[in-house]
Amino acid sequence: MIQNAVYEVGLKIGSIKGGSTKVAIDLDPFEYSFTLKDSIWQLYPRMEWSVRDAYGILQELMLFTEGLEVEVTYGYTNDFFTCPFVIHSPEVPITIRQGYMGGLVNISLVHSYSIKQEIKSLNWNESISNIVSSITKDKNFTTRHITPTLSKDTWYQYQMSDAQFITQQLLPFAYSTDSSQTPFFVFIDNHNNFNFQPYNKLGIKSLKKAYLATSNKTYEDGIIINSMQRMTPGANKLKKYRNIEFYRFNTTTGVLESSNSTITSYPENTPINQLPLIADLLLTTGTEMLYDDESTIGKKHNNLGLKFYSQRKTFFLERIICETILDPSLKAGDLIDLYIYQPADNKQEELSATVSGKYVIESVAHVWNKQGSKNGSTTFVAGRKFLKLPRDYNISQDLVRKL
Amino acid sequence: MTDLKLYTAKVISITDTTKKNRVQIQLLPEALGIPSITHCPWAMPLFGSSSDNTVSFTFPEVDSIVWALVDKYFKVFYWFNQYNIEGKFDYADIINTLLPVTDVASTYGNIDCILYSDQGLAFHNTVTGAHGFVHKNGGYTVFNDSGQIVLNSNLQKIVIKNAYTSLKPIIDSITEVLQNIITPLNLISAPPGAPVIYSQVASDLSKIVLAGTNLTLLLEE
Repeated sequence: MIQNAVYEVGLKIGSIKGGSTKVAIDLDPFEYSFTLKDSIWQLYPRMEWSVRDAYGILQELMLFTEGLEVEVTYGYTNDFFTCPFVIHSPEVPITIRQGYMGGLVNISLVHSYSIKQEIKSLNWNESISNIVSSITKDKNFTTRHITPTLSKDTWYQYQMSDAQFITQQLLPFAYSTDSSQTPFFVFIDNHNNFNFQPYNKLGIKSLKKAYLATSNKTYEDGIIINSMQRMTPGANKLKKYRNIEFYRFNTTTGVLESSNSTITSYPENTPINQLPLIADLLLTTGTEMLYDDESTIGKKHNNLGLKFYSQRKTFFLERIICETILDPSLKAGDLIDLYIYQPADNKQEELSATVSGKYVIESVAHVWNKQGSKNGSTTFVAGRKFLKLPRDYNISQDLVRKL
Repeated sequence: MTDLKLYTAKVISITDTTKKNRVQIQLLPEALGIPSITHCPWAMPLFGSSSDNTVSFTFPEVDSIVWALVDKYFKVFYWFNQYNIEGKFDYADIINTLLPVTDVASTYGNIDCILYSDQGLAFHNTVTGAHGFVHKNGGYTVFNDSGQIVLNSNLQKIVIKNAYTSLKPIIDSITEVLQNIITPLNLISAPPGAPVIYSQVASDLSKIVLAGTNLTLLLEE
């Protein structure tokens, strides 16, 4: 257990088959560091654990055995978060002391839900959210946030794990009438919460304020960001999503029908001239097939879900990487309201109209590093689809608009 | 373009309520051991030859193994053709079925055919042009190697008919009239020098006329 004035970090170990009893590891806080990462783009949170095992004693005790469960608890005095991991791939230690087996051991860990995955075959005839709820029930998640998808259909989980089934088979079709035409994301955050939610529901119950630290201002509440950097995904990566042509054969008429969705199509209330992009949306940049059969509401919703899913990456056209002191409360899927100031004419500071505003946190990396000069820090990537660009900015009229 | 992957599947049911030649399949080994087959997919046929107004299809046997093409999300299922397990096909079955058929060569490699589950055989000899169908009961209708039409219904009777009439009642009428003519009682003596009087002339004449009319409706010259 590590303690300082603010934080408390603990590690417990226990085998997967060993039941709920886990043993706390009594390690010198200066002997290890870890990075704990989660992301809305991947199901499992991951952890990189670096331990100084100078004399090889921990290795002798087989504490880095693949499959060993490691429970990480971290937080403030009365506000702790726990996330279970398993050792995924221990690395060959770097020898640091001549004559001993010891060294610096770097270990990769992944959320413990991964090791419980079993290849199975099942037919499902249910709504996607009910299936997801059924699969993830009693799996030791702290909480589950599953947005209802209404329509029923038949789904086949053939020789695949629950995680594969959810992420590869169900997620692309997820559609909710409450999603405001936004795509779904599935991920376990670093607080051990299971999330199956559309973009517009992410973080709506946990809005946090965040400020970029400046020498002139003090802040009473909210997260103080030490450094910040803008980051765009890159035109080449997202070009194909600018105007996607969809095709399907109408099963009643036999005619090939086409429709398109552009980078401005979703969500439904796309603001005018607020996408950070100058492009000709009349050019077709991608093609995709939809399913011919729309004979039931469920099958229609499947096709709608696919359309939203096809534009999923475009929901983060505007990205910011931020670093702050270790803030264990932050997790992927949170919503933050960024207050970014810039110099104004009267030697005052005013909020940046373009960059300030609400962002979804795409990924978080909590870093605990007592070996180096840093103690703890949190780096997160926050993204959103739209700017808040004032109309009097010249470039505003050139930005893409909804067709 | 839809990406499809090739699978093998067992046919569970061919009783498609939509009558679209779909068959319910259980992918093997992917769906092996599923608790219930109720919601197993109904696969569309991948027709061998069809267009908007033409179609050819067969029904696979229940419990047989077929090929299936499935998309990556397991949402689109097609079935086609038997999964030809080694040794399942035996050309001797074709030879034995064709053996009784007159003047049809059965050289391996020349015969295109469909051998149905009831052992009925539709065939075409791609060298001689022989073509026809052999019924499981042994009857057949074929063009033989020489191009002659051969009808053989084995132990069954042959039926020749069209929408207007059939051959059997026509021949029956003619036979009846001929029998009447050769029956002495129907011939009445006439005065010397006068022709014999045929007592059935009125009824038989109408029968013969009707038979002739029907024969014209049934057969071309």
